[in-house]
Amino acid sequence: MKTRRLLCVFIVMLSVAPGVTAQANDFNTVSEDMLRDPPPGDWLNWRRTDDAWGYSPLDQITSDNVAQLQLAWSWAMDDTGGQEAAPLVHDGVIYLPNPRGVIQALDGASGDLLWEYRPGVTPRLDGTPTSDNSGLPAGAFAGVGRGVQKNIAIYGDMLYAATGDASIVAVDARTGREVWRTAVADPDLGYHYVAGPIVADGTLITGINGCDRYKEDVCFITGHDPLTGEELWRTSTVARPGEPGGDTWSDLPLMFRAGSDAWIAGSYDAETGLVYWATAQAKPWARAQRGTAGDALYTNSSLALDPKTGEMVWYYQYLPGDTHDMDEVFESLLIDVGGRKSLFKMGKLGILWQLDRTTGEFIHATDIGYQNILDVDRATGRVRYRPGMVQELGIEIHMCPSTSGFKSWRAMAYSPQTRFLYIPITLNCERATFGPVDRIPGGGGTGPVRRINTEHPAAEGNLGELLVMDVTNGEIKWRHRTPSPINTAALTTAGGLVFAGDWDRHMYAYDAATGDILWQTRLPTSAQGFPISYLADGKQYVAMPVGIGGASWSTMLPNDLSPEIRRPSNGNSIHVFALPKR
Amino acid sequence: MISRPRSSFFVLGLLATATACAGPSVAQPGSPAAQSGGSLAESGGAESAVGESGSALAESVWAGIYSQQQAERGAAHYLETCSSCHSEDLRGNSNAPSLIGSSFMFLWGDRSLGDLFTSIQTLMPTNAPNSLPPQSYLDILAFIMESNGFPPGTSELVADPAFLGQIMITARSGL
Repeated sequence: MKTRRLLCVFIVMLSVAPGVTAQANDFNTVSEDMLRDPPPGDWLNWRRTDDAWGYSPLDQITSDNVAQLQLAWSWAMDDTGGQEAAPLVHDGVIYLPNPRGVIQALDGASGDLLWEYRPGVTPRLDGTPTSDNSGLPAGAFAGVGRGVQKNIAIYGDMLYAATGDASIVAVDARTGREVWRTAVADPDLGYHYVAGPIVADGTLITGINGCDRYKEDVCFITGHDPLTGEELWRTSTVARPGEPGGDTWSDLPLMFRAGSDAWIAGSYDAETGLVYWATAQAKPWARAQRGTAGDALYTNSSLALDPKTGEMVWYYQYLPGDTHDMDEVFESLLIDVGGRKSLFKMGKLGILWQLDRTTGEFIHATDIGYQNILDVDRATGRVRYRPGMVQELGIEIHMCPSTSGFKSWRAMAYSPQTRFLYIPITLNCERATFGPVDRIPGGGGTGPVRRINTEHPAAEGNLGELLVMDVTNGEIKWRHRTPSPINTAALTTAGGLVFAGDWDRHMYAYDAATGDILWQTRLPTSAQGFPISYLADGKQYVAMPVGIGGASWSTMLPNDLSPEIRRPSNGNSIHVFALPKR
Repeated sequence: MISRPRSSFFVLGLLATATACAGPSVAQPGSPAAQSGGSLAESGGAESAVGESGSALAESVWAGIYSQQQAERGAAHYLETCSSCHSEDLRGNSNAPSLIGSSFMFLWGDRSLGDLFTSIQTLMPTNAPNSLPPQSYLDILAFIMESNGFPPGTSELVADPAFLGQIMITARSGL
C-alpha cells in the first residue's frame, strides 16, 4: 500500500517536470530518508531496500505485456575476474560494479558511459606500494572467485566500494573521482572483500572475507564514517579466548579459530535500529580438521548489531559446530509474518529459518527436504546430525548438498503481492572424503576434500531450480527446474513478475503467482549476478548481469554434472530490456 | 576443489599410445591408484605400462625427475595463472585447495603424476581449462613438486604419459 502511494507521488512529480534526463552533473544527493524508502524508479541498495526483498514497485512491465520485452542496450564489462554484479540506480543512472574494483556510471536509457572509476592496486597497510594493475597479466586475476565485486553502496554524493585488497573507497558519484581510501586489513594475510558496504543510520558498514588461513587475527565487521572513512568500530565474528563464547572453540588459541567470514552484505531495520549481518562456516570445514567439536561461535550465525557502536545486541547460531561447509552467510530478508517482525534466511542446506528480528528468538524452520545431513526440530530450531554424518577424516560420506550448497549468494527475492519467496537453487550431492590440514601459521584453509560431484536423487537430470515458497506457511507453491543452475539472484516486480536466469544463458520472466514462463531470451554467456529494475526518462527497464567466474555453481558443478552444456569462458556484460517504443 | 578427471577414456588413450612408445619405466609395486579413487581405466593403464625395463629410480618422485630450471619456469607460470586462487605460497584459499603439505598429500598421495598432470591440464585454470601450452603445465607440475620437497634432478619432466602415469606421488623417499 505504501509503495503504491509513493508511486503515485512519483508519477505526479514526473508530470510536473517531464523529460528529466539523468546527467551526472544534475546529481541529487541521496539522503538517509531516501535510502530507507527509495523512490520507485531507483535501486539504491544492493537488494534495493533495507529489507533485502529484491522487489521493484514498478509496474509498467506486467504479466500482460512482458512478452513484448526486447533488448534496449547492452554493455560489455571487464573480463578480468568473476562477475557477480549488483548494480545500483539513482535518477536513471546505473552504477555498475565491474570485477577488480572498477565502477562505471552509465545512462540507464542508452547505456552511454558517464564516467569510469578504474583503480590501481592499493598500497599495503604500511604504505609500501604493490604492483599496479598494468603490471599484471589479465589472467592473473581471472581465477575462481577472484576480482569479484558484488555490491556497492550509495549515500550523500558518494559511492562506496570494498576492494579485493581489503580497503574501502569512496568515489564521487558525480565524477567517479576517488575521494578517500581506507586500508582496513592486510591483504597479504589473505584479507579481502567480495561484498560491498551498506549504509545504516549514517554509518558505512562492511564485512570482511579471507579468514580461511591460520593467522593471529579473525574476521570482523567494521563501521566507518562515510565522510572520511575513519573506522568507528570493529566487531569480531569469532569469539576469542577468554571472551563470552570463547570456550565454544575448546581451548584452541586465536590462531586456530578461522572462518566466520562475512562475505554477504547485511540488512537493516530502522525501526529495531539493528543491522543484520550473517557469518560463514568455521574453517577448516570439518570438526576433525579444526580439532574441536565445539559450537565455534559466531560462525554460521545471524548477528544483530547496533550500527553506531557495532555492539552485538543478539546473535543466533543456525548450525553449531558445522562440519560440512554449510554456509548460512547469505542474505537476510526482513518480512513481517503473523504479527512477528521476522528475519528469513536460507543457507546451503535449504532450510528456511525464521527468527524474531527484535529479539533473535527462533520462530520456525522449514526444511525443503533436499538435504541428508541433519534433522532440524521445527519447534526449537535445534539441529541433530544424522548417524555417520559427523565425518572422520579419510572416510567417505555421501552428502546432499555438496559443499557447493543448494543455496548460495544468488539471493532470493520476496514479492509483497504474492507473499512468496523466490529462491535460486542448485541441486547436487557429493561423495566427500575430508582430509587433514597443517595446523601451522598460514596453514588451515578449508581443508582438503576428495570430492566427486553427483546428481541429486530428486533432480531428474536437472541442476537448477527456482523454488517458490509461501512465506506465511512454508508451502512450496511452484518450482521451475532447469538443466543448469539458476545462476542469478531473483528479482520481483509490482508487475506481477519474477526474473531470473540460468547458467545455460537463459533469462526468464515468470508469472509470480503461477510460475508460467511469460518471456525468455538467450544471453552471450551465463546469466550471473543480481538483476534489477529501474526507471530512466520515465520508462521501466530490467537489467540482467551476465558473466563467468565465482566458484562452484558457475565453474565446477555444470562442468562435472552437465558437461554437454557449454558456455563461452568470457563475456562479462550487462543486458537491459524494455518494452518497445509505442 | 579438485575433482577427478572425467575423461578416463582420454587418459586411457594417452596411456595406450604411450605404452607403444615405451618410455622409461620399471617394475611397479602394487598400485593403490584404484583405492585412492582413481578410475579403473587409470590404474589399469598404469599397470599396463609396468613391466618395461628401466631405471629403478625412474618411477619415484624422489628420484630427481624434473630440473631446477624447469621448476623456476613453472613458478613464473604459477604466479601468473594459478596463484590468484591457490595463493603465492600454494596454500589455497576458500575456493581452491592447498597444493602443498598434508593437504596436497591427502589429495594426491598414492596417485600418479599422470593423474595430476591430466587433472591440471583438463580442469585448470577453471575459467579457461587447457588454455596453456602443454609445456607450461609440465613446468607448473615441476614447481608443485619442488614446493612439496621432491628433489630436482638433471633432466626435465616431459609429456610422456607412460612415464608420468607410473610415477607415484609418495610421502617418503624410497621404493
